[in-house]
Amino acid sequence: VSGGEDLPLLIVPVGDGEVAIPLEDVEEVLTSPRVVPGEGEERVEGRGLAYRDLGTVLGLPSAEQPVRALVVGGVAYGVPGSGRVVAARDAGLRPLPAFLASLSERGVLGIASAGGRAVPVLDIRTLL
Amino acid sequence: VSPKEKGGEGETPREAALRIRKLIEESSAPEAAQERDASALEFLSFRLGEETYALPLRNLDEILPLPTISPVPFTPSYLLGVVAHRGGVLPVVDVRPVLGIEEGQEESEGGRLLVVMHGNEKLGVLAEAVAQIVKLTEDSLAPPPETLDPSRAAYLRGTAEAAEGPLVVLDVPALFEALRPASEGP
Repeated sequence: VSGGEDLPLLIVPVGDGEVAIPLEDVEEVLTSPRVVPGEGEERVEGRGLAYRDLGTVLGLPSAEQPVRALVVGGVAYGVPGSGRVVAARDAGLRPLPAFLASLSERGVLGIASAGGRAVPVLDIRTLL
Repeated sequence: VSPKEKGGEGETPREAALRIRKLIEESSAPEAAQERDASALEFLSFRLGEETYALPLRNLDEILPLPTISPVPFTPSYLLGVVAHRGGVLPVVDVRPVLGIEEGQEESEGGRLLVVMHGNEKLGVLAEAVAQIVKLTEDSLAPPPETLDPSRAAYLRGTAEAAEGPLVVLDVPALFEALRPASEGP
């Protein structure tokens, strides 16, 4: 993960687990976004932002009701719970195991450890 | 084929794990190696669906209680995710869909994660229950039946008759290569 040891990571719930995203890539975090139908795609009410479910985008189980939405590249990505921020130096970052090395091409940078659980670290701008 | 050790009735998961670990340590000790029949290979048998499978003991690093698995984006459905393990990261797979096995009871008390080694890589493989260690000779291994789906046979080293019934022996190198996520994604 580039950015050094002080790089803040935002860890958010997705599906049955969590993913970590460099906080600098997140333009804004929306609380309790109201998702409404739009022309061809869902949108966040009152903001005009396109809405997508982060789990669905990542090929993981989706959130029925988003609790937060991360704004990246002008699009709001819904997640089913609150996130937390940790410094990269405290996140136990590890490279992908060789078996999963191909995932780096898909934007999975490595694996962090949070609360004893492994958490994939994503290059969110690349994969979205 | 001779069963080396059988699990006791009422054995707790912890006791079962310790028993298996002890067997692995014993089997890799130099003294044990000298005593072994040079032509016999040791395998760990385990349950998947209605069948008993086996993999070479030399490919088995550890047997763990089922951990909490963290899903990873852009992986095939058989790749359940990763777990933090001994300061590293262990990918976890469910080989049942690959082998055409209906899902069983891995969430039950008997479910285990087999840490399987191949070269410098390790992979966690879900097992619905760990059975025992058996000795087989190369001669006792029969090729997979010709009637078997070729896509499934590709992952099998052969079949054998054990005292408790038929065993399906997995081809560990073939499984590693087949399960490795492609660069193009699922």
